[in-house]
Amino acid sequence: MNESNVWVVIAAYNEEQVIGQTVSHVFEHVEKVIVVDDCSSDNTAMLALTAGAHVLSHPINLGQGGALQTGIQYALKQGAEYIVTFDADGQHTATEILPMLSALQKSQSGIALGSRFIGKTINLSTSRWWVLKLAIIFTRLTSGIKLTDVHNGFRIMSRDFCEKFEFKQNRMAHASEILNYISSHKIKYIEYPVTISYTEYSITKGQKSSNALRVLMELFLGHISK
Amino acid sequence: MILASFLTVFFVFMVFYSAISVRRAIARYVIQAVYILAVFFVWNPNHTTIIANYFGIGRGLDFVLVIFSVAILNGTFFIITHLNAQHRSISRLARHIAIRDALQPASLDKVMGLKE
Repeated sequence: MNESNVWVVIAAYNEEQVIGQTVSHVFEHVEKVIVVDDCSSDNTAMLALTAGAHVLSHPINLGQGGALQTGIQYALKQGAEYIVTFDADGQHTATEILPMLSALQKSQSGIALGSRFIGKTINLSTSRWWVLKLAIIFTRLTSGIKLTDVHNGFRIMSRDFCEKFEFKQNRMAHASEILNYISSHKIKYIEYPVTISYTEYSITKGQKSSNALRVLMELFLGHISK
Repeated sequence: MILASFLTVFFVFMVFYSAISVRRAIARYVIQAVYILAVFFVWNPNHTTIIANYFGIGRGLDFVLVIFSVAILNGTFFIITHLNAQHRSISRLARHIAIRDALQPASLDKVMGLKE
């Protein structure tokens, strides 16, 4: 496996507390990291650069979907063969990147989607569990795609997939947009077990159960506004 | 009388505003014709009932309300479409700037030099 062709894209907004650590952990396994600073008001960009990442800074805040697309476009320009989307807040585990990539390559699929429900969750609240399960039912009804986890930011995509697909939804609805694309274009995919950790930081930052309802709404709006 | 006068002034203003703000000729003529017709109906409300009956609607007012609702929905749809297109343009521009000004790890010394 040529790891120099693997690029990790991290969308970040006001993550100065954790971005350095996240980037460092990823560097233990992968050589190339891109941090897309989505117009943060703190030192996210500088800390990411200090940690060794390529840093792209949006002049205005676009949203996670918008930031990921910027990072993907940049990675493609750099010659990436595989692109990993990875969260900035430390909820994903960098040690799972290469095994997931290996599974993707063996399956000859276009995309590997991380799943916490065939993997592991740490500190997942009951209310959030219910919202995620409702999201699975909603996605199954609207997209027809059968997945065990429909709102996981840990993905690995092949270059071919990234050249054909583009995140048009800038905010959280990008999560359903990619699934709708996979389903409508009959893209070969795999699900891979990953670990999602809900830390005090990530819960404070935005992974509250009340925000989970907003995610459901964004999924719904993303589906009807396409 | 006061309301009819006010509506007349407003609709006449819209006839002239459409002349300068609507680019496509056919759309401009249709919109202006609608506003001129609206002025006519303001001073001849009974004629709306004649037209409404032709379309199977009992009262002229109901007919006007239906047309008005359709016009609002159409206008809202066009505004949303236009806003979405603008949003995509802004996103593309922001992305272009971010990629153009990308910082690579090797440029850290340069960035630190600038900041000091």
